[in-house]
Amino acid sequence: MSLMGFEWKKVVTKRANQILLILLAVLVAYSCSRAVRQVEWMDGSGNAVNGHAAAVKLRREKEQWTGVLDQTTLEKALAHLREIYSTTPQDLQQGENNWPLRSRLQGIQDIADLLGLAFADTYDTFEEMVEKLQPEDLSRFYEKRVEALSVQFFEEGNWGYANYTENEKQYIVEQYQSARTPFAVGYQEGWVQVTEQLPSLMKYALILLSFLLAGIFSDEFSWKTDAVYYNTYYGRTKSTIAKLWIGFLAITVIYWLCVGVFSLVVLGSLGTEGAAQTLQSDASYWSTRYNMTFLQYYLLTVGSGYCGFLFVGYLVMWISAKTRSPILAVLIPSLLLLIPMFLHEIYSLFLRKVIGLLPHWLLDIPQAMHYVYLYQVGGQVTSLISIILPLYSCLTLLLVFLCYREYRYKQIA
Amino acid sequence: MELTITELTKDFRKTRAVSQVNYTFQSGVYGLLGVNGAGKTTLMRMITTLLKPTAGTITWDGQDVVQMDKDYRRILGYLPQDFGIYPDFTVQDYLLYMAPLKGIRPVLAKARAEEMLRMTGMTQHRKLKMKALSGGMKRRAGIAQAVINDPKILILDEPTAGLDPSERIRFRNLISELATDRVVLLSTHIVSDVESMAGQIILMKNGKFVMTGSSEELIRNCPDRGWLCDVPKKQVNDCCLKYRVSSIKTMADHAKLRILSREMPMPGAVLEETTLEDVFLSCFGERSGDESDHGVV
Ligand SMILES: Nc1ncnc2c1ncn2[C@@H]1O[C@H](COP(=O)(O)OP(=O)(O)O)[C@@H](O)[C@H]1O
Ligand SMILES: [Mg+2]
Repeated sequence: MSLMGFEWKKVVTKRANQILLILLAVLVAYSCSRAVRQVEWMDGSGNAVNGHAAAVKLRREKEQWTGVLDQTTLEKALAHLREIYSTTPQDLQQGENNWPLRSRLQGIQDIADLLGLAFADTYDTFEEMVEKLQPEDLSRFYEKRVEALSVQFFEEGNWGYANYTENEKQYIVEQYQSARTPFAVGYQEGWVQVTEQLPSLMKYALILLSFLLAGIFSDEFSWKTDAVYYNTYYGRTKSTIAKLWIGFLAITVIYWLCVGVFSLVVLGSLGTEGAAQTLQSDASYWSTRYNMTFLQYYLLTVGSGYCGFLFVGYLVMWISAKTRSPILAVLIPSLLLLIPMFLHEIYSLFLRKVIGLLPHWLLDIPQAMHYVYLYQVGGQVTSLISIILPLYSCLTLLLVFLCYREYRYKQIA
Repeated sequence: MELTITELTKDFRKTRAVSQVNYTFQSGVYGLLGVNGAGKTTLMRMITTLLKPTAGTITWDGQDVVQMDKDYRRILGYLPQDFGIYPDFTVQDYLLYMAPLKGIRPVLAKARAEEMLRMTGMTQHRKLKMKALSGGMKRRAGIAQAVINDPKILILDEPTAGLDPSERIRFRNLISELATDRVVLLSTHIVSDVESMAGQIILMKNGKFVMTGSSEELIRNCPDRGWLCDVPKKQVNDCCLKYRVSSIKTMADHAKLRILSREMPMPGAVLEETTLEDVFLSCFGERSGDESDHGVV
């Protein structure tokens, strides 16, 4: 067995780590069932179905609306909405228990939401819009989208605290205009759920994983094997590199196993349809400035999560090597995840922007998609995600180097 | 083959643990004898380069050992006082791991590990997990790892602590096997250990080497002699306050004391042969009237 083999053995034979792997498996199983259960389908009398069965029904409802959201589809959708509203008795449209209406809207809900958002400024209620909207209005749908978003973004009291400069305003409008239109729409529950639930899975998995990572370096101290270890021929060179590789391997294997199994189960159960659809076709991504398809969005979420795992992982390893104890190191991920809570308390724009660059975003791309602040790099306006990915890739490399240095010259008192 | 330390000093925040020590080690067994806190461990940790000296240098055949870096570590074997193990490794795993870690080529590692198991008598325990080992077996595994790379410098910090008498004998024999063609430095606070194993003895006190030489030389140079005295029982306490007493044997109405003193302590005292233990006591021992919390044997 090679040095790396023995380092691996140290990790996997440790009882605490075995328990940890079981907990990770439980976490993945729980996340899967949670994500799948999010999908709901409802019949006319308000009986809801969840999970795979709901996905099957919902997919059938949305089938006829799958395609590009062009003038024809919009007109068809408007007509269909009118039909639904005119044939559903008035008293069943109002109130809490408007099951028949909600049930009938399910297939067309996405398009209805988009229409509502685009024309929100002109009409007081959705019903009014459905009644009064004209086909020629519909031809301005994508223009109205940019308009509505720009107003929403620049208006005082909404995102007012962001205080955009002219440069930034221009950038935002350009981003909105450069979205590919017409949108591709249709059933995409699998991708929506998988990306929505990934952040919390990632966060808890990272907290668990950090217990394993914190031991890689600091166990030598708690086992008191450090004195012998450092006095060996390779203890400060090859073996340290082996430890760094084991860290990489542990992060990589555990991350991709968790994310992979989760994605397979959720997508397998809810379906992979919608991979090529426009992200903004889901109303919750209406205001995002990042123009991409659901598949691209998923890959971004997963890729940047991996980047975050590597960064936090090596940070944990470095701190545990430096302090010779896992205690502080295992707190790191939790602390990093707590920081966003304090963000609301800070009113200085500069501080907000600086704190905004913290690595928790890497694990929470769905939130980062809505992040309002912009950054200027070399006179060029850019957005958060385009900064944190390269930034933390570089910092990760730096941490790997620091870990190595830490062990190379460590003194044992 | 020469390990030289020059003006070696180590300060901790308040204490000077090792103070301007000069010495040259050549092939052979050196016994570092001193009470707890004398600075033995600190000295050894500096020699192993685990600890950076505050001042002074350590050279191996004229080369600075810090500069030698891993070439120095290749010829080093170290058994720390507080020897730790990988709890879930078997003894065999452990040695198979230490071999390549210590720079032994993989093809030789297995044979070398087996040889070490045989040498330390651990062959039949090789499949035991290390967390299941007794204190003595753990230490044997520790010696096996220290020697596995056939080191030129073997540093053993309190290797006999916690061993039972038969284990101790076995360990002595092991050391005499290993003694040729290398520097062996072992620390202890047990006099009989060094007497039987070490060719050269170093008495260390308050971070300094106070006396060095072979057992005979130390005895010859010791200013004190051992006297056997018969004293009435009620005088025992007075004697203990006045002299260094190395042993007391109580009889019915009187006691036989062994007193360390340059001059005859009292009329009728019988001069006995000086032992290494006397030297140790003469060097470190306070009269029991002084405050002493050191567990000197
Ligand atoms: N890491 C340390 N920090 C502060 N003081 C220390 C440290 N290690 C040892 N000392 C002090 O140095 C002195 C010598 O200790 P040590 O070398 O362990 O003695 P020995 O091994 O002979 O018992 C003691 O007074 C001890 O308290
Ligand atoms: Mg000691």
